[in-house]
Amino acid sequence: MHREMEALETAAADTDDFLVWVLVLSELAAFGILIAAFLLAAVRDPESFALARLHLSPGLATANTLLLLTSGWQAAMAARRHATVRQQRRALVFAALLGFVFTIIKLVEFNSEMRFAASASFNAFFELYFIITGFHVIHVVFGAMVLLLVAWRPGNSNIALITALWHMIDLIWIVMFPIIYLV
Amino acid sequence: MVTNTSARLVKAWSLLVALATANALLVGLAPGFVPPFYLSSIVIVLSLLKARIVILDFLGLRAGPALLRWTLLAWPMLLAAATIAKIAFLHVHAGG
Repeated sequence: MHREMEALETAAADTDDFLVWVLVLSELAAFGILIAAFLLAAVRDPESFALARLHLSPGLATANTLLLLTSGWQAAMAARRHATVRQQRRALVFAALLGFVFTIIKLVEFNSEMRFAASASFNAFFELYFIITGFHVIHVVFGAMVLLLVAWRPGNSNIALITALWHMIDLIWIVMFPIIYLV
Repeated sequence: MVTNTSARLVKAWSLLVALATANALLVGLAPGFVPPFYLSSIVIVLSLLKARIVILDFLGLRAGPALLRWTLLAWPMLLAAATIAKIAFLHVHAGG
């Protein structure tokens, strides 16, 4: 275990962004625990979870998946080694705007789901649902604001940092979407 | 900075959109034809493929440090395994 940690530290040090990866892995661990809690709760009360899921909007969530994937693509375009400053700025702003559209759609979704959250039989589902997706959307808002800040003052290390975090947000959504909405 | 080319990123994004669309079509059209256990498993595998593309192409870890790449790839794989275990448990429990 110790040797593995040393190897991980060396690997990350080679890319000169060790702390970024520590942050990414710690965020993934936090979301992993929340998603695992959701899965356990679903095993304990499958009927209520299946019924509560009928009140979600998988269509809006699918649209949000496409938005976040496109936003991630733009972030990756900004982080290309040979991208010009103009290209970086444009890609970062576009990525941020898509993040804000994602947030608006998520808030519309929350608004329509809020009335079901009060139901006692759906309590466990909606508590976990709002915690996990709410925590995620806070990350999206914060990440989008930082993308705009970096677009204003672009620098290669800042772009590498925020785009790595943005892809992590993307990755979390990709994994949580089917678990929460579909299966 | 990542050594990805614009063409590679466009290809990765196109694949991601294709997988997300396939996912939506499956969930919308297949429930009458595909048993829920298999449908859920396919949906999880599709999300795993999307996660893999984000890690390898968007994060640029295809050519990155192997340990970092596998550590990141392990996260969706663990959650996918846990989800499939949950689906299988409920399937067996329901007498399916």
